Amino acid sequence: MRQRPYVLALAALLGSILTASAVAATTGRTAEPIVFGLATPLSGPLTFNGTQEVNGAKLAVAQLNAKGGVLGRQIDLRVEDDACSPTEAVTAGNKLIGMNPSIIFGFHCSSATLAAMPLVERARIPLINGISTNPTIPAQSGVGGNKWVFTLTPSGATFATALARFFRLQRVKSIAIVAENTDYGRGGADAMRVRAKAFGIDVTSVNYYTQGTSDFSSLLASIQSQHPDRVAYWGLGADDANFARQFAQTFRGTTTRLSGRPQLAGPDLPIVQTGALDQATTVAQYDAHINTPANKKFVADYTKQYGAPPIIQSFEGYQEVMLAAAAIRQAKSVSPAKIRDTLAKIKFQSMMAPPTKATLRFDRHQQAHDRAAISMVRGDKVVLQALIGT
Amino acid sequence: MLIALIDTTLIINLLVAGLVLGATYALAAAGLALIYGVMEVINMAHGELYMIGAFVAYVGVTEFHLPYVAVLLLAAVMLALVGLVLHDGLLRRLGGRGQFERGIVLTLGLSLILQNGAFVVFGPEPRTLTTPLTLKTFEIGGHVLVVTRVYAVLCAVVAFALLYLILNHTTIGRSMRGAAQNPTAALMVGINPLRVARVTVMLGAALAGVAGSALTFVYNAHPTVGIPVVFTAFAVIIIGGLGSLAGTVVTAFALGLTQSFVGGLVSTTLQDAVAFSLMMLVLFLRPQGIFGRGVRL
Repeated sequence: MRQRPYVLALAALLGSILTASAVAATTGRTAEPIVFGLATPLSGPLTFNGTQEVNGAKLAVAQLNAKGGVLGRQIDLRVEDDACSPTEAVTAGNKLIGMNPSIIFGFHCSSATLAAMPLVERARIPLINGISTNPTIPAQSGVGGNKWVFTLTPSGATFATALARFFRLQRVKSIAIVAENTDYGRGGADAMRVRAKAFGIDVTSVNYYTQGTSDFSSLLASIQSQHPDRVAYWGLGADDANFARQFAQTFRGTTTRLSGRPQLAGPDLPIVQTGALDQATTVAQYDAHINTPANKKFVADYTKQYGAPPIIQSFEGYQEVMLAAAAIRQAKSVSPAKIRDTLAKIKFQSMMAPPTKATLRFDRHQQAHDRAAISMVRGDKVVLQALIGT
Repeated sequence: MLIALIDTTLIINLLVAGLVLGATYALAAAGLALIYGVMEVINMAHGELYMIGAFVAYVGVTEFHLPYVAVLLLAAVMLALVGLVLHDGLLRRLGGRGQFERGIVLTLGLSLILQNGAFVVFGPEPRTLTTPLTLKTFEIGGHVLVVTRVYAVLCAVVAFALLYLILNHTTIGRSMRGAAQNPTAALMVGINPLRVARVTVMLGAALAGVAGSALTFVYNAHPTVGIPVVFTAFAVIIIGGLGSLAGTVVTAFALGLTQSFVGGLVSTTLQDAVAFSLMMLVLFLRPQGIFGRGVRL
């Protein structure tokens, strides 16, 4: 009889747990989270860029979850390191696929994305590529064959066209091209060479370097002897920052200017702030100075969260998640196949365009993009020079 | 390219670029050769010692506004202390049999810990150090030289002069050479192997620190900055002769110059291929290295 109070207490506890579980189930609070996968470089020379993409994606997930998630379910973002390498991308892709995500974002580097494309196709999980610009990616997507890959950025060819137009406006007569020896760099360099020639601009040389190179002095010395008006650079990460510094040291006092796709942000900023890169230009899918309400809010939120303004990769990470959330809402389902079908026909508002402008949608190659931003260094500051329709 | 070949300005620029590259390789590889010469340990964490030197210089200049020479000395002292901890905490415990293999695994593990530690402390962003001298240049005979690159070469020259004095004109230096050339005989004449090994690792680490510090004014600092450096340093010490300091220095400059001319006149993508092809050729034709004759340091 002395055990009776304990039995009663145990029964009451069990009852409370069952009641709480039932209440939680009806209110949906214990519903399984929706898994989003993200593969990006978190080691190697592009760690900084990959981290920026993760930061943007995490900010978007935090904002969505704070508002109750999507379809009443929280989002669980799983991140895998692909080290910007095709081999690692396959490993990272398989790991993410094993987590049964509704959608995957990535794989940041063109070589990695190209390697992972067959994986998502076999697994029948949609992939949003917000960063890789090699033209082969959209060429192989949609009517090109792979129905599961959606590209949310202009390709290297589009950037090259925008830049060649801008060069013509600036009366540029000759350029030398420098690119990293990857699918990203080679795709960009090939496109730049073709577009420059189409616009009557002489290409003095096309030079490639191995990703992770820190010393560009011999390459720059060689280019210096060619006296081009512009050096169109197609590289990323730590290489970009080393190149910008060594370019400034080599070409200071000459009429040769840096152009192409240098970041002119993040680790390049200390060099920009010396004034030595005056009139350098870059073309990108994003510029933090774009004056739209959505972008201003994003820049403010991002800066508050991470202490520095967003760069291209941060923006793309944010945009990828927001687009996926919109597709899930519209599909009213977290099924990868339904999300894919919805993405194929979804209309969405670009953060880079005023709200009154037309919405974007994916084309036959499942590629959607708004405008290319050309930014220019004026003295020691980067300003948005032009937005060119793509 | 043929026109470029007769452009004397280009040739001189490539020569200067090659000397800077050579100085980088010599500084980075000397410590590696020194440690292998005395202890027969391949220090896989050598690139991370270089990385620490780079961050010491970055933090010293940006946070404490220390002058160039002060950060160089600070990096040398700090890395010597890191070397002391590395030796007393890890390397001296490797034991006799299987020391070579265990040394590789142990220092490889340490390398990963240091790299990831740097990611935690400094983050992934490459750090670009700018000072009033970053963009300063001067002319010699009509050829423009970048001050920070000349500074790196001078650092290498001074570091090697000091190393030469230590190895040839101090008791500990002579002990190090003795221990490297014949460990048994060195022990028989009363040389303390533990003390010699400790000083060697401290000196080797300090050289890596000097390299990282001097070159942060030329290249960026980031957690993985040491990886390519250490791989090229391996090529240098294998071509030069494992444990041969003179061979290391000569090979470093020869390789720097070769890579510079290949990069400037042929293709930058072939620079590493040249280094590693030479390494393989030497391994086939002369496995002990060009300057390796059994007598080291």
